[in-house]
Amino acid sequence: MTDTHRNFACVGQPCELAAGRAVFLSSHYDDVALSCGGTVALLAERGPEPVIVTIFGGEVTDEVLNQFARWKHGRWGLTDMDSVREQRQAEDTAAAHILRTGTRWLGIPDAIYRGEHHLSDDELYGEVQAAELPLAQLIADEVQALPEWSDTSTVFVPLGAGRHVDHQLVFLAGRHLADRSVQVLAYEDCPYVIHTPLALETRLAELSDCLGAPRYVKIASTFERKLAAIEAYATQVPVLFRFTSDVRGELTKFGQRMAPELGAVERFWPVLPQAPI
Amino acid sequence: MDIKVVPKGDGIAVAEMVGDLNLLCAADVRARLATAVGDGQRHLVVDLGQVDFIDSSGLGALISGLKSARQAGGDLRIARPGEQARVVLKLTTLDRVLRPYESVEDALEGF
Amino acid sequence: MRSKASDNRPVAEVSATLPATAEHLDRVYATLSQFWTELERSHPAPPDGVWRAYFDTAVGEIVTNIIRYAYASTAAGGEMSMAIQGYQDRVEATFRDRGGPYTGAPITDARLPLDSLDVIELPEGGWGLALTLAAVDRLSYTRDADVNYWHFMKKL
Repeated sequence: MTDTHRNFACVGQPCELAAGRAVFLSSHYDDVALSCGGTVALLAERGPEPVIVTIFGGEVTDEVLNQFARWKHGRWGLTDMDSVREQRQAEDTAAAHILRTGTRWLGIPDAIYRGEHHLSDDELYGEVQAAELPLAQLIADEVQALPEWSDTSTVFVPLGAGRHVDHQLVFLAGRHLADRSVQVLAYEDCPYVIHTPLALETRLAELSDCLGAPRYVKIASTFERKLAAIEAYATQVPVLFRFTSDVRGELTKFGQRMAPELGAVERFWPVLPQAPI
Repeated sequence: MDIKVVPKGDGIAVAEMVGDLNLLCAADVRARLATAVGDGQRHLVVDLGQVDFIDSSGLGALISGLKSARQAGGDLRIARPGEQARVVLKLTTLDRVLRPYESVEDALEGF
Repeated sequence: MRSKASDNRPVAEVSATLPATAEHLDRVYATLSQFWTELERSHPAPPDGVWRAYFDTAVGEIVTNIIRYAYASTAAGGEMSMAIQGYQDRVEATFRDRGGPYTGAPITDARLPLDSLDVIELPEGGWGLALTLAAVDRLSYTRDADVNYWHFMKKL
């Protein structure tokens, strides 16, 4: 793994990965903690307080519940949506406290509630529909309108490995921000890449034109905090990791897979602006 | 394990496997199925008629292929699983997603 | 009248020692095949194909577990041995290796990927021991003086 030795970031202080305030975009509650919680905690130690912005997860009313959403609710055992949202946000707040970051929720409805667009798992994990593309611009605008925003901010977005449309939209928002000369880095979407290793390769191949060489961050010193933040999502962890009885073990193995001798490592790909036409 | 991917047109292909689908070849099977999907063959029929033994590594490779196919808007079906393959599919209840068909022709129908 | 003592002696038995590498899985299957042939000859009511498939599956998973993990931290690799014994009322398999200790989750906690409808969330492995547990009646792991012992039993 020779490039890990060349491209280590956050080796000194302040962390050069994100000199200004770091803004982590999380498609849904828990994505950022799962995917890059170690780096979040490291940046919180070394510089200005980062902020985690959860994009989706808005209010759900009966009117927006289409057949697919109802079916999903049935599978997840959800009944009272308001208390579900309160519970999720409480977990989010607890995780942010552990990572020592701020937290914001944009409240755009999840894909499964957005009308007729996403009516099956195939569509939920497929192509982003043309009618939804403006959402990516909206998300980019909202991010730059945040009180925490500054011109030196670095934005972290999901790669979209696993191709959940919400994740893809946030990645696209990242591309818009890159076009606006913002420094944008993409993280690998967990737990998708944990369960589906090929999803990362496929997505990297798909995006080869718009990603730079990966940067690596050693998170051994904040790994425990990452695990604790993930565990703060008490309702989600048993569902996401329902096939294992040793969540910590699985996360540790995954975190150390790149270079076991270095302890846990997270990596990020620079999102490049589109070449001018 | 020998694998031959035979395209049938319209993004459909049959992956013929001969040998044991186990730890030794699981990574290769995973890669070959991903390549097939990447090449446009997103409706895959995996013919297990000449596979003597399949273990959880081999099954994991098929699951990976199923995910790749589904993400590309297609599907992966298995045909002619032997007795031991049926046992493994039943024990894991993965026969609910990796649907077994009695023949390759049956599996191709409706693709 | 059948004496109790005869229940404690195997009616068929095979064993093999081989390098713990995936390239040698063939020998494991061949050893199994040899065992079923012997059991067919010497057991009054040998098990059918489906029963044997359950047992074979368990053997494959334990051997794969040993191959993957026992010698993972040593460059040189190592050997393993297997012994299968058929009795009047059961078949047993024992595996030995001199690799590192098994440090995974307790066997009884092993989980199968049931509830497979969310395809994207399906794991692509890690259920070898769970599969073994589901296929046999008793499974155990012990370590004694640097030797790992895996043992399982399936009732006929």
